[in-house]
Amino acid sequence: MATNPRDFLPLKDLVFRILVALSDGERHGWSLVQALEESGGSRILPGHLYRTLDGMLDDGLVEESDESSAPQPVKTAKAAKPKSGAAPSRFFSLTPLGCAVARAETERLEGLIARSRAGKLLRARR
Amino acid sequence: MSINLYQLVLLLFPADFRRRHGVAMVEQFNEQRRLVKSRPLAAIALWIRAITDAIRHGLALRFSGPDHTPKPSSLPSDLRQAWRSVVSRRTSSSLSIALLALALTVSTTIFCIVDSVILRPAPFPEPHNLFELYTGRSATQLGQPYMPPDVALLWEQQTDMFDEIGTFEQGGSALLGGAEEARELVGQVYVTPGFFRVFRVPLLAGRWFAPGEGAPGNDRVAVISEKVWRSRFDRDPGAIGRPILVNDVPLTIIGVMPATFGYPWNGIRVWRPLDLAHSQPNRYAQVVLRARRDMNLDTLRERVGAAAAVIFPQASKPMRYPTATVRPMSEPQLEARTIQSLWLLAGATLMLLVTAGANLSSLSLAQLVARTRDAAIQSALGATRFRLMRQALAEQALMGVIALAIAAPLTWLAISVAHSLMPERLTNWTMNMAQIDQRAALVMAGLAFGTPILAGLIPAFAGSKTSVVELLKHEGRASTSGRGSRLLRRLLVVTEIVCAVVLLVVGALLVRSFMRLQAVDRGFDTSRLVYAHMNFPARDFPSPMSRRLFVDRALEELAATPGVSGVTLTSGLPPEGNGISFGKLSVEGREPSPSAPTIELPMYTVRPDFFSITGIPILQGRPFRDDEPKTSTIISASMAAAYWPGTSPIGQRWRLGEEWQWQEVVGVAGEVRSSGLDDRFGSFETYYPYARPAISAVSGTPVESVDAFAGSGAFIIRTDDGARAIAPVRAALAKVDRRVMVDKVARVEDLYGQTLSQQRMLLVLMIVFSGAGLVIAGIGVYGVLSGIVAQQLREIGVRIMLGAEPAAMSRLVFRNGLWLAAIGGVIGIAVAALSGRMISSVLFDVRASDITSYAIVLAVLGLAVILAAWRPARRASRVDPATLLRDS
Repeated sequence: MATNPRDFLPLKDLVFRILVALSDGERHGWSLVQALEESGGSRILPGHLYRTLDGMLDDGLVEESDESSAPQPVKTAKAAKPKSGAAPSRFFSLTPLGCAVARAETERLEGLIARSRAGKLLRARR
Repeated sequence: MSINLYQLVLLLFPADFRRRHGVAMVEQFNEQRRLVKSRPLAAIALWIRAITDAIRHGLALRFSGPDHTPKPSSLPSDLRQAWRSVVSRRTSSSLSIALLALALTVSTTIFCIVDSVILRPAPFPEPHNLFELYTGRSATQLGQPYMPPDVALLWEQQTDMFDEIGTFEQGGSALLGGAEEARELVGQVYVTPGFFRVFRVPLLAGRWFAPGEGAPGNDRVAVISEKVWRSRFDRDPGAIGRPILVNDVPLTIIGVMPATFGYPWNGIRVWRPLDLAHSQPNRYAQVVLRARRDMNLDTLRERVGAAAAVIFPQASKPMRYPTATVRPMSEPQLEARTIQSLWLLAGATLMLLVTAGANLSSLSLAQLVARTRDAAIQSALGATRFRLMRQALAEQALMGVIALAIAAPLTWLAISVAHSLMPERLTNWTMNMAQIDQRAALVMAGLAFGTPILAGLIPAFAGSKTSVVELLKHEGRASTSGRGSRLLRRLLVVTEIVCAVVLLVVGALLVRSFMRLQAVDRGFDTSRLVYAHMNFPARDFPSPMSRRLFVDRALEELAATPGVSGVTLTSGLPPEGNGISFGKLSVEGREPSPSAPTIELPMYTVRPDFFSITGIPILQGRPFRDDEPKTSTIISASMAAAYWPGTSPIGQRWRLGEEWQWQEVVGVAGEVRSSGLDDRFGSFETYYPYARPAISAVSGTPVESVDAFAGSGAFIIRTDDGARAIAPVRAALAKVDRRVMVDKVARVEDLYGQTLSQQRMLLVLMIVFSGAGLVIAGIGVYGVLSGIVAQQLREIGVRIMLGAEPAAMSRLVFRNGLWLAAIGGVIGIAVAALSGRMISSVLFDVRASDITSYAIVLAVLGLAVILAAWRPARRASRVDPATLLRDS
């Protein structure tokens, strides 16, 4: 398994958005979906989400737990908790590697933006 | 109900996935449905998307697993990228690949030859334990490998000293097959039963000789080579026990040796039994042995020396050398000069490889500008430096693979061609065949990957050391290939020029040496002489009279052939020697000095008209007469000068050992080159009259015989036009009697030409190498100058705008090129001069410091550089400042 954050770059859009969404703290599935949909972009369907999460779990970017490790559920998570909550909720959170990968991707995108600003593309619009 | 339907949809996902995420998925879908509950169209759309989602991701999970975040690029992806990169730069990539393929082909071919001749051990089990027994002056000074059969027998009885010991006697050539089959002349050798045990090479079929086989009445058996087994018996195991005609004597085949077994030399096809107890005393035996594993070379030599002190006094005749020693079979059997030629070729190959590598590196550096941009962008996109280097090296490795795919069949072809071009003395006396075996394949693959990767290491390192900031700073200018890489490129080109100069110097020296060789005075007029060698099959020509009859009729027939002005019979003619005798020469009336050297006498048995027809002059005395006594000899001028300095040798008597009769000198003949054009004058040719003392083909000593034409002989025919006479001569001999094997009809001049085959091969290869080196260096110079012009376009444009002459800009480029050539030329000549000693050993009549050769090389180099600079210079002179300004 790769441990160098730069080895993961560039990230897929959904992966980056999941990492960003989890950067505030752990979330369970539905809360995550809501955060993702709030951050803009199309509706995330269960198959896509959980297949991506499976990959990220395998890669060590996120980890899951059956119970929230936080003393009090994060406000956003609590608010979003589904009503039909008979089944135990599983929480997803960032690993240190996930954090580092998210940071590296952010820097990468910043570089790209800097380049596009320095290049003719944005200059022409100015 | 609907939720149950979604649970059905979830069946598209693998069971394990459903178990872990099923509840959460249903929960999520439920929430999503709740949000669109009031909008039926949106609800339908959600259902469609949920089903599509399940189909897409469910199937993907089943077939390729979870969606992983991109991993560091794997080797296949590196290779894919490398392939795209190689294809995108078609011209320079093809050039690099072609150069690499050429260098690979040449180096692997030369490696195969050097490996087969020098490096690879003999193809026998534990080859380092195999030795040839030699007589000698001391343990380290080898004399001859020959010894009388009785001495060999005494050695064979020393069984406790060695693991195995065996003896062989050269059997010369033998006619294989009967009249109805395709007859061929093959090598045969007589061996004792121990001989095969020494080599431990298993037979393909049958058995080895048993003790006692080889004794009179029990000697009609033979072991044949796999080559004969294949060509005549189609590898039929039933061939064992069947007869085969050897010199028209039916021998029973008892065994088959593998084709790879070529001892004592590669032409041997028939091994016949030898019983030393019944061997002719005038034959010469050679002893081979397998030393005991616990014995090192020094101990072995010591014990052999001690044994010789016991054995030699028991010899039936006095031994020429006082002691015995051994020669490891792992040492090549070739002349030192041949081995030096091969090392020279290996050195030249290495130079060519370095040149090709430097060129690859230089081309790679030239692409650095483009690569730096790619690399900077990739680096900005998150690629690590290691990954960038790996990608650059993957590209080099890919070029290596393509070059390997091209070079492999070319090498195979080159080796097949080399086999036909290789001189006989190279192919006959090596125990291994040059072929693409495991070692060659390893070397080839190593070079195919190693050369481009090594060559690409510096450019890859330089290319990876880049940042997007740096790139942006210099956006629009090609200054990313900075000072360092420019200097490096020039250094690489200078390296190429140095190698090219060294190769050219060696090539030029060899050309001049070869020209000198061809112009060498043969000592007689060879251009219109035709040599026709024949063998008499014993069955068809059983009696001396039948052979004499053929010779007389052939002489008549040949003399009557149009275009023939004279014909004579001889046992041989330089450079096709017949026999050579070794010994200490003693002159009658003079006490032979104990320190007198052992000499070699080339011997020719000739008819009285030999000298007039060949044109070898008689300087003193007279040619032979028809009734010449058997003890008359004609000697060469150098022999006369060596043994009768200042006096006439005519009437003097000499002999080469006590077993010889005194020979009376009746004439002194002009010098000829006995063994070839590179033979210096001064070998002591001796001529004997035909009719009585014939020469044993095996031992080379005169033997009493009333039958002068025992087995073979040669007609020498003086013609008006040598080349055109060959077919009529063959026809005339066939007309007299088809049963005579005429194995060689050639112009004597061509025979001399053949003696140069080794030099010719070396010359051709060196010309190819130096030509290739020059072309590669030229390409390198061209590349560097083009790069300089491309980088300095603005500067040139500004200069022209400020009033500089366009011609001055061309001159600037030429000056740059000539500087490179001057630096490379000076270093190259210094290197060539330093390695002069290695070159001088293969040169004839040309010194390694030959000024003319160096001058020619410098002129050729200058010309090549001017040619290479031509286009860049023209481009520089045609820079249009207006266009440049507009473009920028």
